Amino acid sequence: MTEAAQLLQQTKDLLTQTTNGAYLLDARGYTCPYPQLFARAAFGLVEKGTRLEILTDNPSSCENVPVSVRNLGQKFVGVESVSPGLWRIVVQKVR
Amino acid sequence: MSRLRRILFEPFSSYVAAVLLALGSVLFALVLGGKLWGITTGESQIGGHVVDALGWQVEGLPYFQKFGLPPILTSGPQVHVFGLLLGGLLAALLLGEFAIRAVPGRRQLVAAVAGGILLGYGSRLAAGCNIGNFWSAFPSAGVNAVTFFGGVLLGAFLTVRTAVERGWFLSPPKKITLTFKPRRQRVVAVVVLASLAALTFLTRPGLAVTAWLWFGIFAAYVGYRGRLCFASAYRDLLLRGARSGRNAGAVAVGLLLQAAIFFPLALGGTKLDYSLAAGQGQLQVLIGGFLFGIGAVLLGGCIFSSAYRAGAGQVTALVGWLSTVFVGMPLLALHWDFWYNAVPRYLPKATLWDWGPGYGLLIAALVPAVWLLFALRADGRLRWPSPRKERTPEGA
Repeated sequence: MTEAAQLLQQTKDLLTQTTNGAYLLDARGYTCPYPQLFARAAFGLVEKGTRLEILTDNPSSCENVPVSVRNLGQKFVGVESVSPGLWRIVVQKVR
Repeated sequence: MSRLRRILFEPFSSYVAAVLLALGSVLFALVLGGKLWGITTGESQIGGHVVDALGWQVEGLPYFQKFGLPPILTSGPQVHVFGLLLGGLLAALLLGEFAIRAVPGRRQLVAAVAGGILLGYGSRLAAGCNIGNFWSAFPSAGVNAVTFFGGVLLGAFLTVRTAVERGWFLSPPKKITLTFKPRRQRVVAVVVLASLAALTFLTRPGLAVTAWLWFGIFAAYVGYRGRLCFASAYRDLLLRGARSGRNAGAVAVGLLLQAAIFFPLALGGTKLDYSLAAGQGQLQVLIGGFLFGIGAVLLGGCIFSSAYRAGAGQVTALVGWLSTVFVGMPLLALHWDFWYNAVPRYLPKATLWDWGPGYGLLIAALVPAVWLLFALRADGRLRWPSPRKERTPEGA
């Protein structure tokens, strides 16, 4: 399927490289299903082996993103709480 | 301490939430003499009261003649709505996660309002939402469960393939998060909980109102902690390349558990109230379900989850919830007699439990079991041969 241009552009806008070589996807404010769609689009933008940290304030995404990342054949590393109501979902592109 | 802390203050799996919600739903029905759980009748009555207070006299509308407009505080289904909002608030506070967040951007705001209106309009057109026409209707072996599910999946499918996958409503949200220290949140939760308990004890509102209120709090608490969302259950199996069967599987397990409890009840002749979805026939339920499916995907939530998320501080959900209750539902009330007269009444409400327990299982267990298989397959927990086998061209 072709990636929707709007979704891809939004993903690029949200993605920044951190000092340790990982990428941060700032999905704060977005509700389901966009965090998992951004994650999927981001896997197409980064190199194999890259760590991707998804910042979300949407609790359901802590449940949905790991499942859809695993279903994509990528690696789910973990979810950590950043502050009350804010989480970092860490995943890695492995293929 | 860490184990106790996990039990009290950590989120749990959506499967655990669905099992607890199923057990709670059955207990609720048994306490209320067979009355099954539904949300939208009460919501539409609250919407009616508010619109009425604004000077738009709705009491004489055929819709409110049919469903009534009783005073809010003496009506269980209406008090239940406050229970759901409070349950979401309490769950978020106890987990230390309460935050004013998810403030939508301009396009997301449009999607939330439109989605909320469609949720309200569609659910009342079908005379039930993802609870009355689905969660309670499947174990009731109601024909409306299958019809509503079909309509919802069609509406959700079209919306996922267009608005969601093409990003029609994407715009940068406001990155606003207003929150408080977890310890302080838990103190507030205990105070709110104690106040509610004291209020219930002092006012003694009767069994029905008490049961509706506290079941609302329980359901929303469990839903929030398990991130259980019916919109996600309908939508996430349809997302190309980002499928998740998590919520679909959990909801299906909840339906199967209810069926397992309803089956011996049906065998024993226990009378349950199957009056949910007393719509005007299955075509109306189908149209309502279709609009509901579009609305659920646009908003990113169902009637149940938008209520508990609104209580937990999610602004997008609150916008959707307000649009549902104060715009979508009153609009449908205004149009109720139009639909009543315009839509042919194919197959009125019916429950297959009346045909016999074996027939009842066809709807109550078979459909959720098939759905569960699809959910497990989507999550890679189950494999079956792919139908897409390569064909050898003829004559090759």
